[in-house]
Amino acid sequence: MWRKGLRPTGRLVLLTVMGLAAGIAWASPPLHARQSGATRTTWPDAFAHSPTPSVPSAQAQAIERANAQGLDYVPGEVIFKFKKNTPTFLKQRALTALRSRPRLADVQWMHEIGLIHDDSQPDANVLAQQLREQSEVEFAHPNYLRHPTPVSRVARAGMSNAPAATGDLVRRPAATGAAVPAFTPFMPNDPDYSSSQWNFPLIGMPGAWGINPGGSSSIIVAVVDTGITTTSQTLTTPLWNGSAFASAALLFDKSPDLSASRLVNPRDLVLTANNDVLDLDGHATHVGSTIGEDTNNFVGLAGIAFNVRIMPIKVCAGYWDQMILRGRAGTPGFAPNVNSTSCADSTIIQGIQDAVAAGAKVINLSLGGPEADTALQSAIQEAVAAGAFVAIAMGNDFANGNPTEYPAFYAAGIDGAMSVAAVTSTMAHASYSNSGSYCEIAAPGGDGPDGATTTFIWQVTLNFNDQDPSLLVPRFDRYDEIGYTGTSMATAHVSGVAALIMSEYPNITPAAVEALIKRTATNLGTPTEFGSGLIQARAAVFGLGIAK
Amino acid sequence: MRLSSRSASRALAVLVFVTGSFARVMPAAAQTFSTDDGSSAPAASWAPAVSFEDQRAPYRRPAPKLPTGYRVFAAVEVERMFAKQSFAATVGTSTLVGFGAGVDVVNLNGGGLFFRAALSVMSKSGTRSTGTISNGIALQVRMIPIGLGIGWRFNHVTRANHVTPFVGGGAVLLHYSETTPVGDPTDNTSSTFVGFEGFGGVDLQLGSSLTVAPEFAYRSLPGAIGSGGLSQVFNEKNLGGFAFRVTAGVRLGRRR
Repeated sequence: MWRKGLRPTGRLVLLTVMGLAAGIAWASPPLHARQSGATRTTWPDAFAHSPTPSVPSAQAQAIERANAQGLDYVPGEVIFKFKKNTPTFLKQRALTALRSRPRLADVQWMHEIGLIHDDSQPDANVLAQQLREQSEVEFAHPNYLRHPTPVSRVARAGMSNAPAATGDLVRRPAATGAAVPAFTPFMPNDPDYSSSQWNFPLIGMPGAWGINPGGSSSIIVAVVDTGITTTSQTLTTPLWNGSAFASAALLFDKSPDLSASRLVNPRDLVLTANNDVLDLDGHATHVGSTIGEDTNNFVGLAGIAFNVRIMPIKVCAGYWDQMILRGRAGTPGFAPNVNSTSCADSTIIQGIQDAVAAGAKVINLSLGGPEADTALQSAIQEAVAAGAFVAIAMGNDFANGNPTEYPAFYAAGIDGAMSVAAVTSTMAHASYSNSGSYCEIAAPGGDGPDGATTTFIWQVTLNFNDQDPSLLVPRFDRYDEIGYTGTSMATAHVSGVAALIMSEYPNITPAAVEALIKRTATNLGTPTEFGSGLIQARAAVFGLGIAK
Repeated sequence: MRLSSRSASRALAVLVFVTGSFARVMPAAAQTFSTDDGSSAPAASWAPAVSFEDQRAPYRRPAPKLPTGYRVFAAVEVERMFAKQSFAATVGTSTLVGFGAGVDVVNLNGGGLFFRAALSVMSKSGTRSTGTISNGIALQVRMIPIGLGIGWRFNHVTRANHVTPFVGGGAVLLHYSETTPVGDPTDNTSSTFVGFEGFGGVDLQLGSSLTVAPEFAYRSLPGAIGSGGLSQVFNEKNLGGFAFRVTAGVRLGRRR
């Protein structure tokens, strides 16, 4: 009606303006939202120069930017979920609350959880608030960063590495009514087991192995972490040497005490588009080794569930991940914040979902942070509902104000997920281990930086001295027995025992695994520090009678 | 109103019948007669001197003192355990079958008092469990309740004591053991608990000395379990239960 008042020239001008606007909108590149499997072409600056652009590396780039700015979230990224049964047109309407007005197709969907990247608003808190104000949105959070950093670590040169030999483990025969030999504790022949792995006798592993030696290969344990190297290769990539880029040949090799045949369905959501996972940190390999390092092979050390299969899922980007990506992108300079290996919630969620899709029965999350994220909680709930037990680290910030850690906090409300605190070699509360009402179980995590190195958790992993940020060319092909401390290590114990339990009790549910672990734990008092107590593998695998 | 001679004779006949019936049902002890000095004495006191006319009056011979005797018996019992969930999760059922033996020392006071000593053995195989899922590791459960009690037999319910109800109660010592053949000795448990038992049933005489007695029993051993294992998980603390048992016994000793 109002146009009737315009003169013909005015109408012409108006139509011209509208036409131009429509043309600009049509020609504009799509929103910077990551879509699974799609090549990302519009990421600003860095990726425009990347010789091998890939979707996962975008995450590492974002993490680097976050680290550079000291943020605890990925700039411009928000995770959200619509309320159930919201019509499509209302979903689209809700997205228009953002200044960039993304389309539904621009959202990276992880089941019902969406991830939006919006370069027009780097402050993810603002994005999340704008979305939360929409009645169609159930929740919205910045894409927070979690950290798997151990409290301390120490290397011991010269891993015992004699030729491997086949173990003589024998599975318990089926009951036939005939006399059955009694379970006898099993002592692995790994050369440094007795001298270094105090933590396994503490939780009754020899007895557990006597009942169920190493678990079943039908069980997959997903290690959602910094990745476990699955291939031996030389990666040639440009690296910044302080004044220019120089081509560097980075050596990668698999752990000599973690058989490649047991590493299944590897997923890299950070560094490469293919699924040859590379660990540039050592944390995940240490965790994976506690869960299932090759055992009774006369090499190095032992693992808890040494017959299960391990699914390495790389969701965390460390210093060298960022350096490689900077080199690829042609971004000069060294990566900031050398000690901050970070994992975005969106990749953790994707990793959990990938683990479930691959049939993982146990998921190890040795990571955490102080920011709540309902999306992460939702992903864990879905994993448990799908039959996967989830072990989550309580965090190592007891001395730093003991903040509530997520996603560990969520575990207390999910039957089938457990938050794990750490105890020392004397079964005392580890000085670094977070505590709180959400603590559910405790496991050995080492005495901490002030303790003797003999009280660390020792496993075969990358020698971190080879990856020191002061190096110009690191290497990732040398493994040693490395001592770590932290709730990450404690969590790996719980994952390993859960894998044994799932091997021993066919069709057991994650909730029943949690209940059994709690029932058979050694009560240490102070539930906020120890939960139900110290996990006991032998008692859990052996099961319960009526009175005992 | 006049009554005809016929009607009068009928009324008299009815009166005699009612009076006679009343006398029959009156307990002997309740009957009195007047003495010359006007006092009254219980009927039993003159009962031996029965005259011909008094034979129609009710007479019940006082219960004779019975000689102490023995009833040795074998028993089969089915016990429904109070700890239903714990037993069901391990041995697959909360109802256990036991076999045993015992002895009743009857007529202790020349009457119905008796003493009982009995023992039974209940055993069941199963597997260790999480509470809901078995892991296939064998578990053997054995219970040996030893009962020591007293009771009362209601003799003379029937003329020849063919049917004798009884009730009783006493202490029960229950030896309980759990064994995992493939486990470590420390995995096993073996303890004896003290509780109490109440029982009641009917002793049926089938022959001159053979008797069969079905009976129900309530056995309670509070606190015997519940501090570990599945009984702790399910918060079940009593190792007793309701039992139905049948004893087959032989009477020994002098009888009248």
